[in-house]
Amino acid sequence: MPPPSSEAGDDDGSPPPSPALSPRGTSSTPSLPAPSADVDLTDEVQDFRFLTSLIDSETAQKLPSRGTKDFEPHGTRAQDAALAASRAAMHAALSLARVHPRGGQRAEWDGKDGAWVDKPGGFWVRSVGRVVRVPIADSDSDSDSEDQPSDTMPTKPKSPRKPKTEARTHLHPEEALWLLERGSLDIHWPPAPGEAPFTGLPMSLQGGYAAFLGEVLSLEVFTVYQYLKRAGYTVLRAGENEGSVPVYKAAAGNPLSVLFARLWTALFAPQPAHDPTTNTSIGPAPTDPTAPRVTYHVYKPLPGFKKTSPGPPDFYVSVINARESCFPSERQLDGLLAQTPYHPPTGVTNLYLRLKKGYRDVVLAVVDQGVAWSMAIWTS
Amino acid sequence: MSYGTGTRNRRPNYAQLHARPLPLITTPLPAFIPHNPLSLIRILHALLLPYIAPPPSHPAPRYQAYFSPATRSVHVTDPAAVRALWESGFFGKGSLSRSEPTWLEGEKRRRGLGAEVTSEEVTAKRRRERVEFKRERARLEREAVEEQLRKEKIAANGGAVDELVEKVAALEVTEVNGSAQAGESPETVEDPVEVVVEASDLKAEAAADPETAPAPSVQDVDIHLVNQEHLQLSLEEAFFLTYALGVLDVQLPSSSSPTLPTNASYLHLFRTHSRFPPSATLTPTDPFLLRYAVYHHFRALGWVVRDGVKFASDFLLYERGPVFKHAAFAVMVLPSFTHEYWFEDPLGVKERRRVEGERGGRDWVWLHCVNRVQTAVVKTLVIAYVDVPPPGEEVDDVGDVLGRYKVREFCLSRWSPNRNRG
Amino acid sequence: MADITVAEPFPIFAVANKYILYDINTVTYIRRVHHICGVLIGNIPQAAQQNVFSGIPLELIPEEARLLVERGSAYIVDDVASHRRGLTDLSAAERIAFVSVLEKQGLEAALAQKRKADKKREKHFEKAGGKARKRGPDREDTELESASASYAVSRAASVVPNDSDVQPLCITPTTSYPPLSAPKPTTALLPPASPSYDLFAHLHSKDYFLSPGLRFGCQYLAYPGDPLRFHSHFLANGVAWDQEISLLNIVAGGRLGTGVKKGYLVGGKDDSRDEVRVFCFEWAAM
Repeated sequence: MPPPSSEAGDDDGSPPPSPALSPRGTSSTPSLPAPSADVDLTDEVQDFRFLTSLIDSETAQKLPSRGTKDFEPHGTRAQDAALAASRAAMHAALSLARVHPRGGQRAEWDGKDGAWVDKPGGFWVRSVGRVVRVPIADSDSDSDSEDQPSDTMPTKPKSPRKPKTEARTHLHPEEALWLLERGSLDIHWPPAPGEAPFTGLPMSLQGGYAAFLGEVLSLEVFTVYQYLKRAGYTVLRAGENEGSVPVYKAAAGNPLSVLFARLWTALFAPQPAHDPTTNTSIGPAPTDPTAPRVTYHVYKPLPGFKKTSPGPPDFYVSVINARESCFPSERQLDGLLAQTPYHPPTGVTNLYLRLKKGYRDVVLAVVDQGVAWSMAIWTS
Repeated sequence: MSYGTGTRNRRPNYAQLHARPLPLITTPLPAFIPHNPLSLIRILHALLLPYIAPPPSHPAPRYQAYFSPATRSVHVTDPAAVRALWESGFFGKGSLSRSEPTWLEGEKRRRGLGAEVTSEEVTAKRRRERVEFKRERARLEREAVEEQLRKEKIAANGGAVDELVEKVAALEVTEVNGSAQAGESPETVEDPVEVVVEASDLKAEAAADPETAPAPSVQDVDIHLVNQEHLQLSLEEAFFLTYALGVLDVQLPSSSSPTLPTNASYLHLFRTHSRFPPSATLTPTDPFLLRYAVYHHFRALGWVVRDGVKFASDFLLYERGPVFKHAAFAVMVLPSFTHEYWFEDPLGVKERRRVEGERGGRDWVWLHCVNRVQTAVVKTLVIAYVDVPPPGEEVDDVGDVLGRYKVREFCLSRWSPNRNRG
Repeated sequence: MADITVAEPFPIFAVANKYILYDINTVTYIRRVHHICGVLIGNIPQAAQQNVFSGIPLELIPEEARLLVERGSAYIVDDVASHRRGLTDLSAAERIAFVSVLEKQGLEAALAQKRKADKKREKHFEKAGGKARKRGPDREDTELESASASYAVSRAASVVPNDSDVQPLCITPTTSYPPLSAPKPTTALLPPASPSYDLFAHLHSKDYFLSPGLRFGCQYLAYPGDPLRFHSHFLANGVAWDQEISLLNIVAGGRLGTGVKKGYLVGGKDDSRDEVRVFCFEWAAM
């Protein structure tokens, strides 16, 4: 961490200029040299006139890293015109309808949470949705074509037949809503009684929000899911992916050196009240519904990802509603971190790197109309 | 590196000045060189010496200080003690300075006696430059806006702009510029802070010029200049020096007995004054106990721990000291209740709720505010949970009381999905 | 757009304790007239894999929804119940009519897309033909190139937009209220008032645009004008009049605000005088 420059070496009272804001006014005024921190473009509302830089390379205007906003209204018509142009650009950009070619995948709302997909295909199937075996609706009145009786065999008495099942792809509500918003999937309401499936009315975006948000999926969780998917990650529910969390195996060392190390630490090393090396196992999700828990396992967008065997997740994300919870207590934070794998910083000698890595870590996604990300690391 | 004898602005050798991490004298064991038998003798000598003729480890007369109830802190006035406490471990803060007690140096410079430049003066100079720069920038902006307004007015009134109007416009521009400059003085009057800075700048500039200012003899100075500053130790620092290290004696204001108070009475006093107004009833949740547990914990691990109110945290952790590198960590102390007393006993529940409601209730907005402050000054936020024991017997053994508290740290840093991809 | 207006009172849809708007006209209207911005939480279909820009729907914080309802400009609709009722109430004829409307829109969208693609192709061929014409004086090459160029131009000309073989696209409509009947205005539902609602309403009445500021360490960010155009002036936090404020919080806020050139604002309602008072803090170091 490079310290801010100071001649006398003590912490200065005045903070350096923040990178989050552009200098006041137009570009003709002199500006101070900017500190080298990253600029997070999602921090501010950006002008929609720069949206074209992302979609149309021909008329692209480069997205300025700091924007060209003013400090206060000064009544010039130029400023009013710029504002009207921005608002018009926003209106135009958001008025476009979601279209996709006919013949793509379609799905149907299953009535409580999620949707069934008709013929899964397309790029998203690699990372979204799960195959569920569902009993076929009319398996009772099975036609003889299912059976293949051999003429040579004597007829057996009819044993109770296991219901026939078929493999269908099911989407969780956040997955279905995300695909609907992207315009990749056509979702239908359940059909009128007596009609064939997938012939119900097509779901609008508004209908999608009404159908999929509710007790199971809150808007906070969906916001985080959507943010991560738009950034390109693969996101799986933690509750269904527990088998992928790696269990820690201590490296077997020379027994003599292990004994010596234990003796040394017992005699000379300070004894911390909480020894992080004592508990290396993965704990269960907390039973208290208000306690924070790991919501999603997130994987970086690398090729070769398999839904059936995803491997150890890259990040563990816990979604927190800022308005309805406080900063967790020690016990709650401990319970939350217990659901993440234990990874001691062995072999790292640099103090700062050791502290940065820590023994366990979790990503906290705190949501209040927009996500604030931070990482909590158990250092010792 | 040596002290700059000729030039005044050479930085002092901090590594030499602050060689000792604590105000104790330690004799390290000499290195063991296997092939040199003499090194073995040296080691034996060093090991046996403490039993035969022990070298002093503590300062011979202990440092003296007195407790000030008005400021709820401990004051040290003896110059030798002040220097020793600051140099070995960075304890305390100069009451008239930003951190290191430099008031006397600054005063000498102000009177033209040629002392070294203090850090406050360096900072003041930098701030003056920044204020100038901002003023210039604001003036240019204002001109740009006025220019734009004027153009629009012409466009609204005119249509085609002919040469005559252009000439008038050119004249107007100069007039506008002139009025902008003239208009600056009312601006500065409205801004009292800037005016004050300017006035003191002029004085400082005049006094700082050593060639023109007369140089009275040094002896005159020593007679007339009394150090108005004292070293201010926070309650945690004073207790650490008294109890953990045993190098400090704190005089209590109203005590008339010749014997000094015990550590237990210091603890009682500091606990009483950790709340405002001072409360006679002591509870396990006294802020002094929580803060001291964390202070002692990090000092024992080797960090230099200083107060962090400047950065909206409880403590700042430095690896070697503030003069070497900026603090890497800002510590926030949070009480943690795990014992069943705090959840089942009605008094315990009431006390727990009261403590948890302090500081606005630890909501996420507060956390992000603090986290953003730390990020802006490149520090990592450390949350130190202190496990509070249930109230037990009030014993005199300080170690027993303190030993019931447990400290556990978590680091909190900002994370970005965009920066962590791939 | 100066001329977009929406009939008042307009519906705000409540889903899972959140207040959401889906109609772009309403979004633009409340921004211009009521100074309510909300937060866009949806996807932009034409740029789906990025997080800088978001699209419809617009989420309103409970304070914003309550303000609009109290003004009488809007009313709350329970969207889940409304959908459930509306879908069962739709007759078969209405369904068929709606589906055909969607088909027509899909066809129009497909035609528009095709025309855009055709135009692009034409431009591309024109550029290629232009390049050929500009080429050097070598006669053999010129003939060959002009032949190919003229072939290309003629081919572009001969591709008559044949609309009959265009497949209509599938449209996902944004709002549900063309097929469903618009719900009736009612004042039965009022969003709850949070403890800082008084401050919100006060700042809003002073013509500030307010947006949530969790990420910046405050409850609301106060902008002097539209956030599209202006930087925010204040980091606002609402507190109760008798609530104790820790000094460390003020230090943190003052330091944070001054670092990003904003004022740290704390405000609340003084019930004895029935007015909202606000106070600003600024960092002034030694």
